[in-house]
Amino acid sequence: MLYKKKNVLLILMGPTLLIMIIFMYYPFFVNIFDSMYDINGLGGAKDTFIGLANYKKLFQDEHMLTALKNTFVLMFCIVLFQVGIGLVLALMVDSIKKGQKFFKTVYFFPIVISATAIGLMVNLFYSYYGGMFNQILAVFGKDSINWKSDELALIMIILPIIWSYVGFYFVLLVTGINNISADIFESAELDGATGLKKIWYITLPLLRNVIATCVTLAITGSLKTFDLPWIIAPRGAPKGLTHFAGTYMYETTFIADNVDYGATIALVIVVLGVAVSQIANIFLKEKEM
Amino acid sequence: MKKILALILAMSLAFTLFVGCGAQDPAPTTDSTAPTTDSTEPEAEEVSLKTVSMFGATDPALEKYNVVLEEFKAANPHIEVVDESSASDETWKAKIKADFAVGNEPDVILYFTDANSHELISQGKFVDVETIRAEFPEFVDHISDHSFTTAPDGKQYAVSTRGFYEALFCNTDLFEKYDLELPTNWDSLLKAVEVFVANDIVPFAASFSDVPHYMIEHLIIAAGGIEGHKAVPTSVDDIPASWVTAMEQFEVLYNMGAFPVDVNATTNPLVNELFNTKQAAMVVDGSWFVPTDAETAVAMPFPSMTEDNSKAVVGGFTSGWYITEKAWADESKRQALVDFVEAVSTPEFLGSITTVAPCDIPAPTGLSNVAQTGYETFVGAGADLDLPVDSRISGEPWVLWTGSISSLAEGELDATEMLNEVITEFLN
Repeated sequence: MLYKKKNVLLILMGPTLLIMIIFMYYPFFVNIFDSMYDINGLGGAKDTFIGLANYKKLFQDEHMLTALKNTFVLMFCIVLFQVGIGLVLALMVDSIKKGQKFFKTVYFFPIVISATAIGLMVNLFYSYYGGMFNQILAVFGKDSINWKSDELALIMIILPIIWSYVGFYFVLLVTGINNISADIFESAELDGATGLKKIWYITLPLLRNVIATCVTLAITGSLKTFDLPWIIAPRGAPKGLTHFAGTYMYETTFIADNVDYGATIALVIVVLGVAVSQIANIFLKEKEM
Repeated sequence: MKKILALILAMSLAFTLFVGCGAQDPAPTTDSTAPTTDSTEPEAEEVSLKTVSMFGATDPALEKYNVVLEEFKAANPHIEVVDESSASDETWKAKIKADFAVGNEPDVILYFTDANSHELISQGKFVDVETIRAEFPEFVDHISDHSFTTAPDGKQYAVSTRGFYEALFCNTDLFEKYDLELPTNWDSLLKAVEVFVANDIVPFAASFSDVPHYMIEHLIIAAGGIEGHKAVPTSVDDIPASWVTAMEQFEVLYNMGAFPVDVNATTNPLVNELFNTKQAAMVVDGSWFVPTDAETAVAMPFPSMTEDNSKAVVGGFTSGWYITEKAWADESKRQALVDFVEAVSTPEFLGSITTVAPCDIPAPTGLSNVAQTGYETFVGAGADLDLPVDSRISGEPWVLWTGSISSLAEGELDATEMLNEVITEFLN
């Protein structure tokens, strides 16, 4: 034990706890109260108590339902593709002897580019008039496509979100694989386990905790997604069809000045984040042998 | 013996330290008082001003504003100015509101005088001009009285800087190429749309998802004139018929192909680029819009549906310099605050950044074609001038309105129903 007296530990952990209380838990509880008052604009008067009216409104709000549906689609895609592609890349990079550092750098690189820059770049790709994708189609004699039409917009927003964060999960998973003892792989090879068998019976079971962490991060990350969709399709364009919980909360609070309803949506995001990640943890929890 | 020696050494060390401590105090005092003794005038108290402006990176006024800032700093070495300039988009507005909400407001801010400021005014965040003049009677006395915007409480808070107008910008070379008249009435506008569509030119560079505001306002003026535009419905039954007609034109124009194919999801910078690269013939924008080809582009009033050669435009003074109450409460800052607002309100500076100034400015010369025609449009409007709709209807109803344009244009939403919903929300 580092410290025999627990008081020292308490003193050392105290400041962080205090900061968390002041800047996170206190605003969180204020947010709950805010959702029950009529507040027009940030810093607006909090003199009309409306109770649970905003929570009733949630169930009748078509835009909110669209935002939630899109958020769950995004969550599914992020867990499946961001974590999935990250895992496949990690397994492949771990299998090669030369060039590991090169691939690690290349795959991680999109993480360091700001979402704003990626969003602006993607908008130039998608532009109907002279955008890169339509220029490529023109080379092959094809007609231009409206990449952000009602039908395509959601998937065209989700694609760059997935691309930009694959590297994050890739790095976590590669580190997880590197932490598996080489002795286990050597023993497995002596027993005849190679290739896919080695991955299926050795690597994946031993990566279970890392994968569970990645899935939890992916779930909570998808609920907070805001920056990239907002740059690519402001205000859920077209027609609010591409709103996510985060973008809808932002529009409601900062553009429509409906702070109380924005606070309600924020609370829903937190509750969903905790609930869904807990459910995921139940399924991914390591079974006791 | 050893104890005595140790005691003597310890006392000597302590004495040395005390002498050292005592000797440092007077030194700075002597140094700091020296210049005051030599100087003939008392040194001004050092103050720091946090200023915020809406001169964004692409705003031509930013460079001139920065020059004035530097001159002000040079003339007032005792005033430290920490300035933050940014384009006034929705994100910026949200940031400013958040700063005020947490008590992190600037000392002086160039901000909107429309509905955006009303909440802050009602919270007592700004000091009014009358209060300032009680202590500084000559405060901005060169600014015309009529240019001050009156807040809902009847007081005037902001010192107007530059006016604006919104207008229809046309690439005249495209109109000449296809032998078209500039649209001075509704028929000529519809004809231009037809011809441009037939020749793969986008008639209107517009984005319904990003900034549909200009089209909304100008279609309202087109359908109901300036009086229709000024209407503020007090009930759903009070919604002017011209507003419904105006909103119905979105579907009419959309079905004619008047807008970009990706109008529902593109962004304003991209559609402006369509106009700049001559892929689009017209764009409705404000006096801050600077086309790449400023000599072939013209600014003109949006054509009316009911008369030829309408003069009516959207415009006025919707921004000005505010001194915050928090800064004014610090009496040591007052002179610096007043001096700063005076420095950024001189006729020379205003004349250098705008042709629509709140005071007498040197006659504008050497303007580009688009700026000259814009200036003439603003002056020609005379009394046919009104502030944008969202200066009266803002927040949730305005978000509802602007968010409905795509559905209106595609015929998925009825104009009357949409306006009823907006006004119901407004009256709530």
